[in-house]
Amino acid sequence: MYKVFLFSVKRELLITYRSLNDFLMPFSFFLLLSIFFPIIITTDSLVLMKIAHGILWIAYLFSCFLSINRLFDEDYHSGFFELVSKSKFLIAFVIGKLFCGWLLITLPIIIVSPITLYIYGINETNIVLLFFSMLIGTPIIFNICFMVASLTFNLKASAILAPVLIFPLIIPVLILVTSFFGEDSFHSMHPFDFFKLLFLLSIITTLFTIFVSYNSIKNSS
Amino acid sequence: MLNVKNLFFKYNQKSVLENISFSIDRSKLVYLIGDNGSGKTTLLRVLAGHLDYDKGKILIDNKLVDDFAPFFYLGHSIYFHSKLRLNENIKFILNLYGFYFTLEHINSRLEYFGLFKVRNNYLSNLSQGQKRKSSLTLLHYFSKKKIWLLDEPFINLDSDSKENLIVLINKFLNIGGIVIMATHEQFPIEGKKIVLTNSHV
Repeated sequence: MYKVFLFSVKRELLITYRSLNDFLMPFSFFLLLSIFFPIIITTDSLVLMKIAHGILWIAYLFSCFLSINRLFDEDYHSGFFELVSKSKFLIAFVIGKLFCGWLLITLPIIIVSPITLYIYGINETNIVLLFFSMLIGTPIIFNICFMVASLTFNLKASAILAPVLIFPLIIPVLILVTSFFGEDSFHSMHPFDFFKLLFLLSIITTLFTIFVSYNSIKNSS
Repeated sequence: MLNVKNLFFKYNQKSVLENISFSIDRSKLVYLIGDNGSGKTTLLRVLAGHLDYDKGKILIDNKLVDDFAPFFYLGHSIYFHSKLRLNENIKFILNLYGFYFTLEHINSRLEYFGLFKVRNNYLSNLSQGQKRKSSLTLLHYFSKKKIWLLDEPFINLDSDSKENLIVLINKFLNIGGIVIMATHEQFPIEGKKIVLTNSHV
């Protein structure tokens, strides 16, 4: 099982390495969106400090949402999913795909996020807090996008259905992750408790995503 | 022995397979014959478990089939990723099925269909015939399955490859396998014919 997981990761890494355009798209989208906001909206540092966290999370959500379909498209259309749907190791393949997807789409964004926050004039303590909240909390958003993509990759109306399915699930998550840095109830929460809550939600959504995606790929044909 | 009893399948309220019944002994080949749209591919996909049938029974050695593990379906798809090399594609699929293999083993199987020279090519650089032969190479590894379901396997193949495929099918039949093949052509292997006309056998 572990060997299949490693092979699945290796496969995704090789595919991504050979299609660098696809790899760079979410990263450059995130970077451009977070840089353009202060240029276009306002240069008032007080306003920027208030909205920075929200902008970063929304930029991440859209980067993720726009690029996640590539994890499924060719494997579905080539018949690969149909072929492997009978494998008893399919679950390891799904876990590998999920892990690799997060690694390739999210990790570069997390690494670059502290640099973009300097543009918004955020203090160092908040930058560190946001960096760790993204590291622990991005799997929640990624899992939801991955789960919805796995449910819609074989549907003709996926471009309409996917946003309809994603947004009701994402809104509470976005409120939670951004409110910690705002002025409402979560603000008074100790950072460690906030990270624990994010970690717990990440674990729950990961398990649920694996279950849903496994069944979706198994029955995709 | 494979027994199919009173199989019904509907798609979008339209009946595609109606009351299909037949039986096939071990080591036998069956030609599935019929006009375009008569339901040949649908029947193969139902037998492979890729489509859920509405009514009927599929039995192997008088036991009801529940997980479809004894079947191996090879359809019109390519099955491989265009950004991966041919040998990488095969390695990943074999790994997913937990098959033991060596590089020499894969190379010899690729050479069977004359693909050794292009083993390091990306799939996008192969011709249609080479892509077809690549997916047929997988048959070597699924000889432990009881039943092969082949959907027009000879399409895009040159005459040498057709002969090689016939040898491969004969080998599988000799070890007790069953082959159901949807085709419009006749080949030099003796086999029962099942003719599908307007969703019926």
